[in-house]
Amino acid sequence: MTAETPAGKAGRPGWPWLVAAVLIGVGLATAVVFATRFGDDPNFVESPLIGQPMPDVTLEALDGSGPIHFPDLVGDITVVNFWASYCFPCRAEHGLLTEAARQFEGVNFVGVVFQDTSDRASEFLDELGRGYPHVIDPDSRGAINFGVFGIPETYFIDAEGIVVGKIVGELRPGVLEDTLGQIILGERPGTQTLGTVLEQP
Amino acid sequence: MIAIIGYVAILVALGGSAALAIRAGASFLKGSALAPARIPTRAVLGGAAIAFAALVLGLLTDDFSIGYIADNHSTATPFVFTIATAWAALEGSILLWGLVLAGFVYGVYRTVADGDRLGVGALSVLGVIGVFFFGVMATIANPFAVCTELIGGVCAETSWHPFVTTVAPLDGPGPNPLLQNHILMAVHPPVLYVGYVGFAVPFAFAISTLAGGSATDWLERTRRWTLFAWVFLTAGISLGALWSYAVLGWGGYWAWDPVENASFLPWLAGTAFIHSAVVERRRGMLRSWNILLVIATFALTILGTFLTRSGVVASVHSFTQSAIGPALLGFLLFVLVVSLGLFASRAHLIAQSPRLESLASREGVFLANNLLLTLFTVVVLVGTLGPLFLEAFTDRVVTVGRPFFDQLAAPISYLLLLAIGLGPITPYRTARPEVVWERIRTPLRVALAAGAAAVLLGRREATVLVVLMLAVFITAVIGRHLIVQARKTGEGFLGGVRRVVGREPAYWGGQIAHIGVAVLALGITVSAALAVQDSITLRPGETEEFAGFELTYVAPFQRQTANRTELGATVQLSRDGRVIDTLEPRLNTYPNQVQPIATPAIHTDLSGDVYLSLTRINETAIGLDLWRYPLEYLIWLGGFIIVAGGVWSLTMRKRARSRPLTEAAAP
Repeated sequence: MTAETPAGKAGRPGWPWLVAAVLIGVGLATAVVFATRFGDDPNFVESPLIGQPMPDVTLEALDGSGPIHFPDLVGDITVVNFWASYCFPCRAEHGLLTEAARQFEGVNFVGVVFQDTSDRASEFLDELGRGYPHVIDPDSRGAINFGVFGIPETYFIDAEGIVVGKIVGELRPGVLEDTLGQIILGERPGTQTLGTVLEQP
Repeated sequence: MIAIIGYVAILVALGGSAALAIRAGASFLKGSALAPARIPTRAVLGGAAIAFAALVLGLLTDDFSIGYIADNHSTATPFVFTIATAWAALEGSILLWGLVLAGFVYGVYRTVADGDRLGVGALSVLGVIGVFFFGVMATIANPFAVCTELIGGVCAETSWHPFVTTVAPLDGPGPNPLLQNHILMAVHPPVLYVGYVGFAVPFAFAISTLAGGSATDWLERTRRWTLFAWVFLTAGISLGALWSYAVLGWGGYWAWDPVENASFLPWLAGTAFIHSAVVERRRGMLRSWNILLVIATFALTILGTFLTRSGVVASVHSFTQSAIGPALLGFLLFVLVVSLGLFASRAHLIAQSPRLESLASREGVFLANNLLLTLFTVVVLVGTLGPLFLEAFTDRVVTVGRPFFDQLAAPISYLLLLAIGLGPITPYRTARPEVVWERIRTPLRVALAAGAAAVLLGRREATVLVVLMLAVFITAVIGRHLIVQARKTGEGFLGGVRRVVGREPAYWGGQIAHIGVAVLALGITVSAALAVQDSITLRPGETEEFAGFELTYVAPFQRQTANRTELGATVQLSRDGRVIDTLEPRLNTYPNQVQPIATPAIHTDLSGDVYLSLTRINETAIGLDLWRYPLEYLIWLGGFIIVAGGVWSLTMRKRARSRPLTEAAAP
C-alpha cells in the first residue's frame, strides 16, 4: 500500500484500478447473494432428513422404564417432539401434543428432552401431564442425529420409517391433526415453520 | 393533518437534497460559490426537523390514522417510550437517519466559505446521500403512510401518500416489547445512528478531493467530524452490549450476531482510518489508503443499515421485511461503483507520498495497526456474510458461530494490544532500538511483575495472564511517558502533567482511549475465562450455594404496571452468612405478546457480577440460570474510558500558540 504510483506514470492501469475492480466485484457478488434472499424467512431451514429413514438412536426413558430403540417404532406413524422445561413455547404446546396422543391411538408419540436435567423435565411433566413416553437425551445424540436446530421442533415419521415432515416452532391448534391426516393419506408434508425456536438454554 | 404536514416536510427535505446535490455540484465545477447551497441546506434541515417533530407530535397525540403509529404505539405506552417509538421501527428509524444527516449537512455548510471548492463538493455529495434517504421516505418507507381501511378495529390497508380519506383505530398494539422493556433501548439506536451517519462527512470530503483531482487538507478539516462520529459509534456499540447483558437475560453481552457485527465492522474500519489519518497529517503518507478506508467505512455503515433493516439475516434486530432492502442494496452498490470508480481513475493524482523510511518507526507500527484492523474487518465480514455465500452457491446451510469469531479475534486482539503498547512511544521516521528500549524497559518489568503476582495468587489461565501483562504494559508505557514528559517541563509534577496533556490534547486523548482498550480487554478476558455457570431449582425458603455465595428464595411477587405484568422472585444473596443484596429477577409480559421477556437481576461489587435469570416460575418453585462473571464491570468501565478519551481529543483545544489555527488557513 506504500508502493503508490507517482503521478508522472499515469496512463497504464495502476493498482487503484485493480483494488477498485476487486472491491466492486465483491460488492456485486454480495448483492447477488442478498438479492436471492429477499422475501425468504431467514429462520426457515429445510431439513435434509425429509425423505430419509429415521435416525438409528436409542434413548433412556425418563421414568426409568428402560431404553426406547427408535427403529423399533417402525410399523406405525411416529411423532417425535423435542422439548425442554425452560422453553416457554414447549410449555404452551404440550397440551396440544397430549390431546393429539389421546386422539390418534395408532400413532406413536415420543417426547425427547433436549439439554435439560431429568429432574426438571420430570417436574415439568408432573405439572402439565405425561400422556405418552418421554426419553432423555443427555449428550444430545438424538438431537444431533435428527438435526435439531432449536426447540420446540416436531418430526413426523411414516409407517415405513421414513421422515416425512417437520414442524419448527410452537404448534398451533389443528396443525398436528392436519399434518397427521396428510401422512395417513400417504403425502409428505415437508417442513413447516410456525415460529422461532430457542437455540440455547 | 399531521400526516400531511410531515409528508410535505419530507418532500421539502427531498427537494432540498436534490437542489443541494445539483447546485453545489454545478458550483463545484465552476467558481465554487457557496450561495447556491444556502437555501437547499436550510430546506433539508427544516424539512427533516419538521417531519420528525410531526411524527413525535402524532405519537404524543395518539394519532392512530398514521399507519406507523397504529402499528407501533398504544395509548398505554409510557411517555419516554412514546418518544422512543419515533425510531422503534423501520420508517421512523430511517426518518431519524435523515434528521441526523440533515444536522450534519447544516454543520458542514457552516464551515464552508465562498470559493472553498473542497467544501462545496462535499456538500454536493451529502446532497446525493440525502436524495436517497429522503427519496426512500417519500416512497417505499413513508413514516406518514395513512390508514385507509379497518378490519376488526385494526389498520388493514394503508396508502403510501397521505392525501386520502383516513380512518383511525381506537388504539394500537404498542411498540415491540423488547424495545419498551428498558430505557437503554430508547438511547442505543440514536447514538449509534449519529455514529453511522457521521462517517458520511469524511466520506463526502474524500469524494470531493477525488473529484477535484488534487491533494487537499480534507483530513485536517474532517478530523473533528470523524472523531465525533467515532465517539458516538463507540458509545452506541457499548450501550448495545450493555443492553444485551443487563436486559436480555441470556447471560452475555456480545454474541457475534450479524447485526452486532454490522455495527462493529464500520467501527473497525473507522478506527483504522483514525489511525492512518494521523500518519498522513504528520508525514504526508498513506494518502490513497486513507481515501480507500473512508470509502470502506461509509460503505460498511450502509451495509450495517441494510443488514439491520432488510430482514435477510436471522437476528434479534431484524424486525421487518420490506421493500427497503433492495433499495439499500442498490444504494450500497451505487456508492461502491461511483466512489471506487473515482478512486481508480484519480487516486494517482493525489498520491505523491514520501516512502516509508523504516518499518521500525511510528509509521511502521501504524501500518501494523492498520493491517491488523483490516484483517479483523475481513474476518468479521467473512464470518457474517460467508454463510450466506456458501448457502447460495452450494445449497448447504452453514452457521458460523461464536467459536469462529472468538478463535480468530483473540490472536488479532493480542497483536493489536502489543501495537498499542509500542506505537505511541516509537519515534517517527526511524526508531533507534536504544530509544525504544529505554522507554519500554521499566513498563516491561512492571508487566512481568504483574504477571508473576497473578501466578502467585493462583491464576493459571494463559489468556488471563497474557492479557493482564499486555494491559499493564500499555498502561505503564503511557504512564511512564507522561511522567518523563511532565518532568521535562520543570513545572513540578501536576503542573507538568497539565502542560504536557494540554499541549497535545489529540495525542493524550488517544492515550486515554488506549488505556480504556486495555481495561476493556482485561474485562472481556477475565469475565470469560473465570466465569462460573449453573442452573438451579429453588422452593420458597430454600438456600443453595453458588460460586461462594448463598442464594435464598424468599417469595414470588406479581406487579401490574401501566404497560406490563411483572412476575418475579425475590432472592436474597448472602456471603458468609451475611445478606448482601436482595435481587428480583422477573418475567415481564406485555399485552401484545404471549411470550414473556426475562429481565435478569445483577449484583455487582468489586469482585464482579452475580447474574440471575429466571427461567421458570410456578406455585412450588423457581428455576434460575446463574452466572458468576468476575470483573465484568471492567468491560463497561473500559468502554467509558475509550469514549472519554475520544471526547477529550474532540473538545480540548491546543494550548500552544506557536502555530496558527488551521481554520485560518484559507484555501
